[in-house]
Amino acid sequence: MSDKKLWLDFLSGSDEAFRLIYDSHVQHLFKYGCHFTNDEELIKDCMHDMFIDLHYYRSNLGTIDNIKGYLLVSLKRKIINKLDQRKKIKTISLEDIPFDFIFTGENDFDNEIENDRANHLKKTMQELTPRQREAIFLRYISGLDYHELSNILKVNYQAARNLVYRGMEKLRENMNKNSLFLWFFLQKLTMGKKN
Amino acid sequence: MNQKSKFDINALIDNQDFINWILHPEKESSYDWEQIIADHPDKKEIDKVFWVVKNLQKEGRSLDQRSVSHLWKRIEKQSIGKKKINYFARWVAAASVILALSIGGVLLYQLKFSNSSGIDYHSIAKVEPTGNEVKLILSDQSEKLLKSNDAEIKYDKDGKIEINETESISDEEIDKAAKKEQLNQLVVPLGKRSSLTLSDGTVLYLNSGSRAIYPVVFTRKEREIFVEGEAFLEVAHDSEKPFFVVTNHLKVRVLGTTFNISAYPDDSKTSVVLVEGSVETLFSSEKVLMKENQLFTHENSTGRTSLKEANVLDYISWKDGWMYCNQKKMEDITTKLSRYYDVTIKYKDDNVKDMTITGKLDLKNNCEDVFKVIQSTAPIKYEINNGTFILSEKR
Repeated sequence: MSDKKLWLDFLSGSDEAFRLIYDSHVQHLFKYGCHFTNDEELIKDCMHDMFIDLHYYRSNLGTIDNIKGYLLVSLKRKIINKLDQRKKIKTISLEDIPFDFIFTGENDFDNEIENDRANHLKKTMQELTPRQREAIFLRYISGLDYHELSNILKVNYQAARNLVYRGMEKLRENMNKNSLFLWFFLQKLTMGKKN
Repeated sequence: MNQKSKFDINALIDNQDFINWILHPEKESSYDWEQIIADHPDKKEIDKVFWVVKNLQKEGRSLDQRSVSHLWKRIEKQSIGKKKINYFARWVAAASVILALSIGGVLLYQLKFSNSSGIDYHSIAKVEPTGNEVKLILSDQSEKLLKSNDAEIKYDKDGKIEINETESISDEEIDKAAKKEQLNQLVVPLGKRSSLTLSDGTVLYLNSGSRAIYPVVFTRKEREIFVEGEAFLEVAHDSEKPFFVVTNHLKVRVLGTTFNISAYPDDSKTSVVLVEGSVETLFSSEKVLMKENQLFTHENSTGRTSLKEANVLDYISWKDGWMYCNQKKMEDITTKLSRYYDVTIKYKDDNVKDMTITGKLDLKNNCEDVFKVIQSTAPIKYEINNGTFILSEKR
């Protein structure tokens, strides 16, 4: 079912559609939320509040093309408000919001080189600005397009694109610094397929 | 145009097709990416992009299944569950049946099918669904009145009763005679709805003007309950103990898990609609195995039956506070509305009865709101006189 159709079903009162929206996005929303804080309970509370609001205000909502993008914006707003309240600071500047990458299930690669690379990626990620990290997350993990990125990051289309470009550039540069890297991954893949 | 320049490194990291190929190389792609990369002057850089994107997917935490369902329950309680009694999610993967039953003038119709329990439900079902309160009748015939519009009653596996999650009572006779099956009865008047969880986990949603008779705990080798009026059931699976729903004219054997029954004494026919799963309808000496999306009707006076395809939403939407009308006659609509809201509806012009309406009526609003919607879409006018709705044709 397309997002548009699912959303329309939801707006017209289908509780099944509401459940489907929850089921298809709950994991990704949580994953996204974890970048702003380590407090998993706070993230779950924000997700809870967000879905309640969504259901409550559904008669006032308009049509949208991408549900995931919409939910991510809403969740981010909730989390930042809650963190604000907690810190008793009126507003956090957008630039100051942390966006930390967490790699779990480490060392599941079957060889050392791959493990080293994975650790290196982790380290390199920390050298990016939080905004670049978030942009890369939204682009390559959430799979959103630049329009949606600019909406979530509150910047224009080109700026959103630049965040992704710069971020990827930095990641690639840093890969070069590591002498351990022997870039034969793709050749291996190609050969493997031919056999 | 040369493909190499078309796919410089920044063009590639923007290319959704390329990214999709990295994540799902097995899926079909509009380009032969392997070939493009093999011929690419920046092969090394692309290799890095490939690896970065692929490994990014391993990033992040996830919620375990328990947290996912716990969070959903919290959300559901304060959204869907707030307005109505239904629990849509649970019956999605299950079976649904509707039985609309009537005993018409033949009040003391004999059950022709064999009633395995031998219980004489007619003698038990003597409490009329009148009054304004939902009535719970315990096995010692004491009555308990429940004041809310959408009462929620739950039996735990030992037969202890919880009402609206606040009050807890127990049917005292359970302790005294655990071996004998104690029957309780829930009577829902017009204008009210109720949800009832039985000791085996089966959930019934009872619509306005309905009753259910059921054991406090299921002690027999078959589970059996009696329903009059309309109910939606989510039958808890237990392959050892089959589940039967007895109505005045029919008996339904549940082979799947969930279904909905409507058995009003003032309807002229009994019908069963199966949404999902499998049920067997038994009447007289026959039985019919129904398929999904089928409507089975049994005319109570003649015994004539039919089986055909049906739009199941028309029959089950009451549970979610909607009425789906697909070329539905006003006469049928008003019959349902008068039960649902406990109001009297009369016609000034008889031809209004035969007008048909297609669309969705929101029953979460009050009855007048529903008529406002009808009035704005159909050539029908309503007025209220002493609490009675009077319908006439708009000229």
